[in-house]
Amino acid sequence: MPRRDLPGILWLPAAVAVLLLALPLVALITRVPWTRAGALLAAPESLSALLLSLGTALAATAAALVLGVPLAAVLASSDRWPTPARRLLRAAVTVPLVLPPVVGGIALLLLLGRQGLVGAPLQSLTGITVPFTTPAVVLAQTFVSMPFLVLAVEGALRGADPRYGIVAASLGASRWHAFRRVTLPLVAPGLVSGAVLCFTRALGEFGATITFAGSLPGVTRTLPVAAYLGLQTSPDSAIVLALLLLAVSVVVLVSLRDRWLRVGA
Amino acid sequence: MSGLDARLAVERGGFRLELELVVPPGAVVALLGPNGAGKSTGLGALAGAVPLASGRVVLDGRVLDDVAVGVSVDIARRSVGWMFQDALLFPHLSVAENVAFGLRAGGARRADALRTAGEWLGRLGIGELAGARPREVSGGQAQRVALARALAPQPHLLLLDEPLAALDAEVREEVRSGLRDGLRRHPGCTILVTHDPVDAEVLADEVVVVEGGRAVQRGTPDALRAAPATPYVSAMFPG
Repeated sequence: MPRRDLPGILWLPAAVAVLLLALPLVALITRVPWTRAGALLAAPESLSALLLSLGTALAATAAALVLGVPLAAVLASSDRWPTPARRLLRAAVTVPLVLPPVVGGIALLLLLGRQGLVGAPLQSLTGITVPFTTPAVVLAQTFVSMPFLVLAVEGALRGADPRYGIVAASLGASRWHAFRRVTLPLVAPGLVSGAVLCFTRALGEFGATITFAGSLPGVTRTLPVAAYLGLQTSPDSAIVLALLLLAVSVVVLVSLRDRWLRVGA
Repeated sequence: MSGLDARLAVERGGFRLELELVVPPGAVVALLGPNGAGKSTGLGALAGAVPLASGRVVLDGRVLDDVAVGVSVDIARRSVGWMFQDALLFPHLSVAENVAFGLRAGGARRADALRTAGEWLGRLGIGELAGARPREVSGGQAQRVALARALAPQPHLLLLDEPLAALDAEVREEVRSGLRDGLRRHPGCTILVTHDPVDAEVLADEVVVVEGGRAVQRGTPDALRAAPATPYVSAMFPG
């Protein structure tokens, strides 16, 4: 397609925008104490934050898969519902997506805290308190990251040809058999990218975690929390932890580039 | 085995289809008609994917639908196979696994299902494709695999919705004769939707011409040619 050149006036703000996005990362990378990076990462505090983050982010991703895939399937087939019910359901999925994570953390605290809607009876009946525990970290991460998975899987389900399901049914497959053996494999790419996106989001979760789960070393102090707190006490290890999070993001970006970033290709 | 005995009405957004079909076991009936005549809607109703407004469908003595008493058997329990214009092979399964799918859904063990699937592929002359992935086979081959997949669970009724329409002219003839061989091995009844009179001539024992939601004429192709009831019939079967 022949096309006209861009008006020159756009170039300057575009260049500023690129610098705004890229320069901070350049600054981070130039400040990394490369020679001591290994030792800083291997320090007990860093290592425990890293392991805690990996474990909780994996658990949150697993929870999001187990709960979010069925939710995505319900959403994808909700077109014939009455409009208010459909909108309510969609809002329940999309609001956490745009909500500041701190607000999510406060809301979780008001639900599950000692005085909370569910937390108070839970404690008086079972003695269990959720906030400021490792499960609270997983809950906070799931709250924040599951919508990404739900929307990715819903999009994939809507894009799949419904006749595959009809064919499976006409071959005698029950609804569950057809969903498991045909529908899910058909949307596997969407499932994988949704899960990866969800995992990254959970790994980087900060606001809801620190609000709802706090920052107890080894229990709730995840990588982002450790990096933030480390800035005051040992900036070098904070920088190394930040670099680690950046590296994970880049790896995810590269692994998903074919699915998410080829908008213009 | 007593075949299909169906009288049904379907209503869809102002369109009404009324159809009476009696198909003896082993027979092939072609539904021929212009686009929008209601042929595919009729297939959907027989498959249990489109609700009936009224009517009764009995297949080999078993009531599949009876609107008057509120009976409607689920699509997966009707023993009705359905083939579309596109082969719709499950892309994540091999050709043999595709053909084995219905047998597996019916509870067969994996090894048994795969062996039976291989036999069906052999009968249809495409045994060498067993290990291939769906993306590796041509359009004509894929449609023959889809036929093997539909036949393998031995459905009492086989529905073919324009099975040759998406194929290039060169392969259509070949797949058509493969379809004829396959249908000869199918003891159940078959309903073929098409808008190509050649399909009807080659494959069907009886032709039902559907126009505007009604069967306007039925009979063998020769009978239709001898006394066409509408301009459409005489255009399809010029004397």
